[in-house]
Amino acid sequence: MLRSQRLINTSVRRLQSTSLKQYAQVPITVGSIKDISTRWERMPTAEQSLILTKLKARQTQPWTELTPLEQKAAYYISYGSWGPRKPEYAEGDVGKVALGFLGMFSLAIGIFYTFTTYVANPKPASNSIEWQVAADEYLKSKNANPWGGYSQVNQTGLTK
Amino acid sequence: MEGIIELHDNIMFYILLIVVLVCWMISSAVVNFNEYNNHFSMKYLNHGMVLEIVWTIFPCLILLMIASPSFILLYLNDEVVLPAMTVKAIGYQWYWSYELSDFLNTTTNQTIEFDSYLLNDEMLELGQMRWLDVDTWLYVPTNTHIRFIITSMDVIHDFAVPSLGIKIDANPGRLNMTSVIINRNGVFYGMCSELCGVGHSMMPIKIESVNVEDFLSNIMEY
Repeated sequence: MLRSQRLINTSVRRLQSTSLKQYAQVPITVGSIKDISTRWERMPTAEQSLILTKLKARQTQPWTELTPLEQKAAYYISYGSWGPRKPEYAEGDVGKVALGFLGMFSLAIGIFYTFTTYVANPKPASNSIEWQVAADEYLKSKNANPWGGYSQVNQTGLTK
Repeated sequence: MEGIIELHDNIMFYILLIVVLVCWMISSAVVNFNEYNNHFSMKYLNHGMVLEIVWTIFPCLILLMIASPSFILLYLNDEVVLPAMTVKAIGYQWYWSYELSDFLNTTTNQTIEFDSYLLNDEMLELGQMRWLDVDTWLYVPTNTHIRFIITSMDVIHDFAVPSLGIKIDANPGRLNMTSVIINRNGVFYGMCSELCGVGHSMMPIKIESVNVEDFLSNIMEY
């Protein structure tokens, strides 16, 4: 075990043996919790548990009596994006995700184009404009589907 | 069908209310209580009696207001009172067969019944609807109370004609019933709406409503 690690462990034991009441009254030193969001995950476990113990004691006081740094630290440790809450993709990965999406999207369009152009060929005769205009006329002459179809007033089919 | 549209409009009113309320709540939460602009902390808020009563009672009232017209419509649809004629639609794999048992074909001395098959691509004529048009379709009279009896001879099918507000399962060994009054001449398309096998998409329904006189004069041509 490193010497620094041993020292921290000793101080943790010493602190834990002291009454929690003492920590509740004294604000935590700025140096130990400043920029905690950038340092938290790299801290040794012993130091983390030391900060946790102190924060736990401090939070027995009214929330407004905590310093802004303590509030931030308490919030970050409880709800911050570390451990299981760490986002799967970092902020710099946006381009990678976008590229992956575009790649899959292009592939889907390619498959659709290949099938419609080469596999499903020739297209059904009813796909032609001429056929659809005739179908439109037939449906209008027959009052087809009056609720949602062609014979509604002011309908905008192919033949207006 | 008018009842269904009215119910839709009624429910849409409540949906709009809810959408506006929820959007307002979300946007006000985002604007007033975000990371940089938070007026107070909810850290010590554990219980809000009034809030809980409001968010329990309010959805209950909305559900009640939606439920009452839907139940009225549901039970009205179930009633078939004194129909003037009956159409029996029988589902097969994969076509519909219709029986008009109120009419007797005087030449064959049998009741009128016929099968209705999909027109395949080769049989289609210009302007016909691909995969919707059939070789023989059902004629029914307008302004007449028609009872539909739906059943199946093999698997479960579904007799669905959206424009008439009909959607009824065709179960083998069971007769399902509904009624329709069509107020105007026209053509109504529908499709089998219960996955019934490989030909499920090839058993459309075509119903044409005509004047009673035209119907009676042409009924023997089936």
